[in-house]
Amino acid sequence: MISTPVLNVFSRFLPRWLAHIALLLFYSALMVLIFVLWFPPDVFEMAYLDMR
Amino acid sequence: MTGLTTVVLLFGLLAAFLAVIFRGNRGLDVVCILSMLMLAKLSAETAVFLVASSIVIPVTLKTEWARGNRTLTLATLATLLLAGLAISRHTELILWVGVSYFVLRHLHVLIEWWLRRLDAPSIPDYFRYQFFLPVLVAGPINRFPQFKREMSRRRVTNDSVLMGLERVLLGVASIVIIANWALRRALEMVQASMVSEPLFFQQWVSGCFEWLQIFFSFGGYSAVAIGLARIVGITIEENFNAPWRAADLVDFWRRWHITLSSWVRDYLHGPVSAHFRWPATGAFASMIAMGLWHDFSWYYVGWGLWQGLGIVLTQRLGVSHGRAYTWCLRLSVPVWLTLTKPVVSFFTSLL
Repeated sequence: MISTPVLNVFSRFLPRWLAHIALLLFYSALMVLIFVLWFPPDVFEMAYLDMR
Repeated sequence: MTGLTTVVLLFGLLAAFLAVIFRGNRGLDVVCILSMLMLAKLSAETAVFLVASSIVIPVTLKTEWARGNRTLTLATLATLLLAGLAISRHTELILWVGVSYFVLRHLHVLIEWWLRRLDAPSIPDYFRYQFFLPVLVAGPINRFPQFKREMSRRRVTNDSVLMGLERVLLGVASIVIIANWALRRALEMVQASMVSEPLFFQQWVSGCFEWLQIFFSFGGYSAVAIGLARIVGITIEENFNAPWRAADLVDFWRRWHITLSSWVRDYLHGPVSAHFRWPATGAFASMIAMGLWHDFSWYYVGWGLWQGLGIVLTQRLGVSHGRAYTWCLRLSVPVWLTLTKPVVSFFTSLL
């Protein structure tokens, strides 16, 4: 059975199957945020941040 | 995000992937080769320094002459290493990568050998230790005996890979989302609203943010390193242990950048305190050394003196006098730390 610290935290409050889904959503959200913030906004040619 | 971080992270993930495929020491050899290639690409000078020192040290320690002249060998090699560190600090046109970390790793091995607690390492083992990519650039300053033990029992499992990947993800998130984005923007907003405030107060606020930024960025780098090592089945020493829960300033330095503070405690604080028979000298010497390890400047000499003073005062007041007193000591930690920047900046501006 898979076990990681974040999954253990989710499992404390949610049923096991829901904890896995929550973990996937959490990972996805983090990866999207990291990817977007990693590059300066001009890479995407869009103002996703309130840049002055 | 800097190009250096991106390169190191990509090489780190590639190295971890290869070390998972190749079992045993062969996997670590692949990591070592990849590490050398990365270092040669990023900074040829650092690669030459690290390769040369990683050959000279184990070869020298194995000679009969070195075994008969341990103190002279230690003094010579340590002087050469510290001279290398000093040169790396004063040549601003050259990019040096991870010198302050691998110099401390070398010194640790030399001192342990001098104390006869460690045999001269073999060259392959020493290369695997010094060129272990996850910890090469930003620590933790792991110890050789533990690394050797971990090498001998290295085992890649599903759990180790998953836990390692999660640690890497959380570490990168801590650097990119919290330290580089949220805290930086928060500091910019606060600074913009404080233009008319006194300089001391401005520096105090930016000092507060600096500690938070160091925790989330450097803690993030440590998490990435520990996570990458975990993926390949190697457990590396932790660098932070809930520093916000520190009972006092002495306890804080046991929880903050643990691999550096334990290095300084073992090889500087203990011997200096014992030599002068006065723990305060050990505290000041250790903290000044820690400051100079960050940067050779008057600011960091003052930084070390300030932290040393905090530790000495804490040790003097250390006996608990009830709950309120315990809380005062606990509160003194953030107050003392955040006052570092304004106080030290004020005194160094007088020089």
